[in-house]
Amino acid sequence: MGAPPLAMRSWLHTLLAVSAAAIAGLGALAPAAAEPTPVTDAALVSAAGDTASADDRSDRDLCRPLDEKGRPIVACFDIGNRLILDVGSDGAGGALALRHEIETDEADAIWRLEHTLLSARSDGQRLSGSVYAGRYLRHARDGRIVLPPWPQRKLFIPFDLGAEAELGRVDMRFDDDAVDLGAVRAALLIELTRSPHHRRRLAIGAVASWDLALDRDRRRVLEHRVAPLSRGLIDGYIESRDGLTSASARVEAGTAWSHIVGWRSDAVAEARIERIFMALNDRPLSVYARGRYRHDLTGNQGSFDGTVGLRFSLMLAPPPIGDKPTGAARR
Amino acid sequence: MKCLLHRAMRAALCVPLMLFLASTGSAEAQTSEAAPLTAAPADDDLTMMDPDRPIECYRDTEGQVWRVQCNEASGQCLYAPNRELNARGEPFRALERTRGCEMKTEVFSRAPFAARGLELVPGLADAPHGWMRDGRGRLFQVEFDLKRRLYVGVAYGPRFNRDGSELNRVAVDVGLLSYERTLGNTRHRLRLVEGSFYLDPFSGRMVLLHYDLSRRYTEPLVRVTTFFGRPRRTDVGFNLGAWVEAGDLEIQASDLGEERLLRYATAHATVDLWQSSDLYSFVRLRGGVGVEGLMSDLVDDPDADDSVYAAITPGGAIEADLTLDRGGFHHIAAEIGYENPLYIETHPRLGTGSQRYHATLEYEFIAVALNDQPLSVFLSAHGYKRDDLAVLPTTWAAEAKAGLRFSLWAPPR
Repeated sequence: MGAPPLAMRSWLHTLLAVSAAAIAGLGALAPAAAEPTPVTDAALVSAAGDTASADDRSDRDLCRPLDEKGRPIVACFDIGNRLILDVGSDGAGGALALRHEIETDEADAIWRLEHTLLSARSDGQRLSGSVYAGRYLRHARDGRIVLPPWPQRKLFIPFDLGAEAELGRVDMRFDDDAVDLGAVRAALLIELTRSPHHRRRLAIGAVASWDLALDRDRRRVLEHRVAPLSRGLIDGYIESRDGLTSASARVEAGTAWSHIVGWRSDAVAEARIERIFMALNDRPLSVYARGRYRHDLTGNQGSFDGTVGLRFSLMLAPPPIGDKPTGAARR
Repeated sequence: MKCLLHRAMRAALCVPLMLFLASTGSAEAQTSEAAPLTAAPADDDLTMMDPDRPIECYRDTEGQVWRVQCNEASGQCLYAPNRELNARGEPFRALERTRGCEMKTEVFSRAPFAARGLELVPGLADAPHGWMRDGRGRLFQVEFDLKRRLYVGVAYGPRFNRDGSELNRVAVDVGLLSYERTLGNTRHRLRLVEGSFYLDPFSGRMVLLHYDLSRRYTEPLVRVTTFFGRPRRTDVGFNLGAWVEAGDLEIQASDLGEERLLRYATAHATVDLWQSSDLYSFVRLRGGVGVEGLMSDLVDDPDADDSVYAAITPGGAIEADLTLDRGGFHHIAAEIGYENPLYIETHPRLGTGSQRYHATLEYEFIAVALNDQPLSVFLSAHGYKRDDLAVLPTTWAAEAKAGLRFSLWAPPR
């Protein structure tokens, strides 16, 4: 058997490099932020200043390295702000992803907002996507429950709060009149890592949703399904400091009520990993893999599907330099 | 009393002792001019500094910064550490949301204040309006604006029909964005994707877009001057506004099928009969017209088909939205309304028109806040009489709802 042709060897090299880089990248994922230690006023000011400047320097080194000719290289990517175009084993798709932080008049808290607009995916026989999906996490310096009688009783709690929302999720086959439509979905989240940035998340939550099964041809609703906060979720996400590697996992399980068959239970577990392995004119190209397992707990039937693919991203924000600490909430 | 111990030991021994003395009413630690000034941690009942009055800052002999606010009239100065305290009563980290303070060069002690006839009293550092501090200086929100929020809720929602039948149902409430803002003399109210869904049998109503505005006119529309005896002027205000909804979908399902009413768009003019000074609350009349489509697929209804029966719908309502307290804890909303859909194409069952009456009363109050995000309890009663949907009784029916809503955002008012 002869050696594989040059193009194939090149792809094999790339694949191996990507695998190795993904494994190495996961090992270098951002560590948990340490809790601040009590220090004196002067020490705090000094320590904060030193830390910030050291972080900025290290981020510049990390994100803007120079090649052997002294030319700068973009080596960090803000993967939460990009236009995505991808091709995978389950078809082609795209989405507009945005994420940002806002400080409201609550100066001790920041909101970390993530939005996915107009996501769509098709393999020629099937179309899926959603009009809008968002996640809103409120990070405060302290968590607390304030109980009546106001405002004297309070318990301090170690988590942040947030929510998810999704509108207009569609899943349909072109050769079938049935359309699965997720009209609205909202979830309350408890974020356990209390991360002040987008790169880390571990959340648990409860889901409320209204889904419909439609008959396109007869213009009729075949089924309404409602989950009145009766589904639970665990959602985790981690992203390397340079944005080259990211991974997420999610389990959602519980019951939903159908106006046809009554209450039904199911569980869905999903994991994703993505690794940027090269950039074209500073536009990153990445490989991704996703696996999803669904289990119908009422019917005791399970199914698994997975996909791997190649993703091209048009970045919508400059590469991150440091965590850009803002407000007291960062402390 | 003076703690001449190692710093750590002082924290461990002296602070509890100070606390004990403070709690047992020992005057020595507070009133002796020679005594060092200490914080009174974990005492939530201390007076908080006024967020609108100036604060001075002093450094003591150990380098710790103190916030001081004096009130010449009362002869007292409140003092509090300029840092948040940890569980051991030690300065821990910066206070949240404090204003800047004028840093004084004098060393912090009682003597200069006593010379001015002022008594130093432990207090809580200032916090912005809508916030409070506990004894350790930790901040928490005590006012909430439920007009700016995202919310999800669940409720128990029985329906009572006039024929004695009853349905016990669970409901889900969702509001993806409520946002109100006052700009000048105009209050803008925006709500996106707000709805409620019932289980068993399914019914639901969701409004994609709601916008209304209230305006307070500084000039009265009509000035009436009477000349009976001494001339008198009476201003007649006419606070006109607007009310618009788009994409209002209502679904009522039964074992026989379901009916869908889609109010494409509705536009009403409003007249505020009463407005609160901040325009949060109002009582108003509104009236106008909408365009809607009625779809039915009841399987045993010979008249049902796939057609969409469009209608022009004049309607009106009197409604009130009242925030009862400054903190935004208690809210009442009420509405009595009437709609008269006039079908463009004669409907096989309804003919050229139908009637809808409704009355709603809702009370919502905040019970608990988690991370300054309120969890509220709401109770509502809804009565209606309508003949446009065949799955509903044509006589008066009543629905009640009692549940919880969890709101995100809800900043101080």
